[in-house]
Amino acid sequence: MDFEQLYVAHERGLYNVAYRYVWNADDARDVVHDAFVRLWRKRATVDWDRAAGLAYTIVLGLARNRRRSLAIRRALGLPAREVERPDAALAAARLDAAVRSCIDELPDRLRSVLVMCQYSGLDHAAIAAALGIATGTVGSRRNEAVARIRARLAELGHG
Amino acid sequence: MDELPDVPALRVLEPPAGGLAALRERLAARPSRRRRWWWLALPAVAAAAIALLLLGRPRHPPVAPVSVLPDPTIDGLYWVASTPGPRRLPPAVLRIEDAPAVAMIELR
Repeated sequence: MDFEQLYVAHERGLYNVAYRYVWNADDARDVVHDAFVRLWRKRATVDWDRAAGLAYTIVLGLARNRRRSLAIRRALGLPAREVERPDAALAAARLDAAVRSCIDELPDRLRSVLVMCQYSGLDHAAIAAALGIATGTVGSRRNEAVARIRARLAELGHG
Repeated sequence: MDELPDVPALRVLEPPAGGLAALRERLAARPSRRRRWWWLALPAVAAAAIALLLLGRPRHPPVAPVSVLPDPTIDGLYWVASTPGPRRLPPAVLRIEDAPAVAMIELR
């Protein structure tokens, strides 16, 4: 596998992980591209066959930073890309918004595991390596994240 | 994630089309911005350091030439006038006391 093959193989997963932090297609793609620019700079030392975990680690870090900077820009009233809202015509629009807010309320230790399990396509061992946690912790944190979302949805009347 | 509702917020999204081409363009159009910045920063830092050194250097008063005055009472003795420094000592009473002990050394 080489640089471009890694991009093609994991673009969707990386994009979906980043999207659950920034909730914006352009910012999510920027985050993925920023991550690959960093990988390109390190290309002399990267083992491309094992670089998927590294790519997810970089994307998660950049997505957290982008999320913080977007929040600051909005707080200061500076122009920022709008968070994409679900289509109001959809019957499930309210539920969709509620799920988004539940994901936003998760602490990062749970959110990162949840989105990695859902979208990365990596197994638990690879996710654990990318996040720097024990393999067994991946499953427990994922279950905790799901339980918290369900409990919060029930509180919001979407049980 | 079947424990959670099936909503757009959780569905797998397709990234915008043309991602790889856009990444290629970005890499091709991106000279190493960081490295260029460092090359500009190094001379600026060096110039600032030199300016600070020059500004912080103590300024001495003009140095008078050293004058040597022969003492007519002792053959071969000269009084050397030293250059006054920037710090002046306060005037003090000069006391001359007897030496507590004098040991004579006889050279052979």
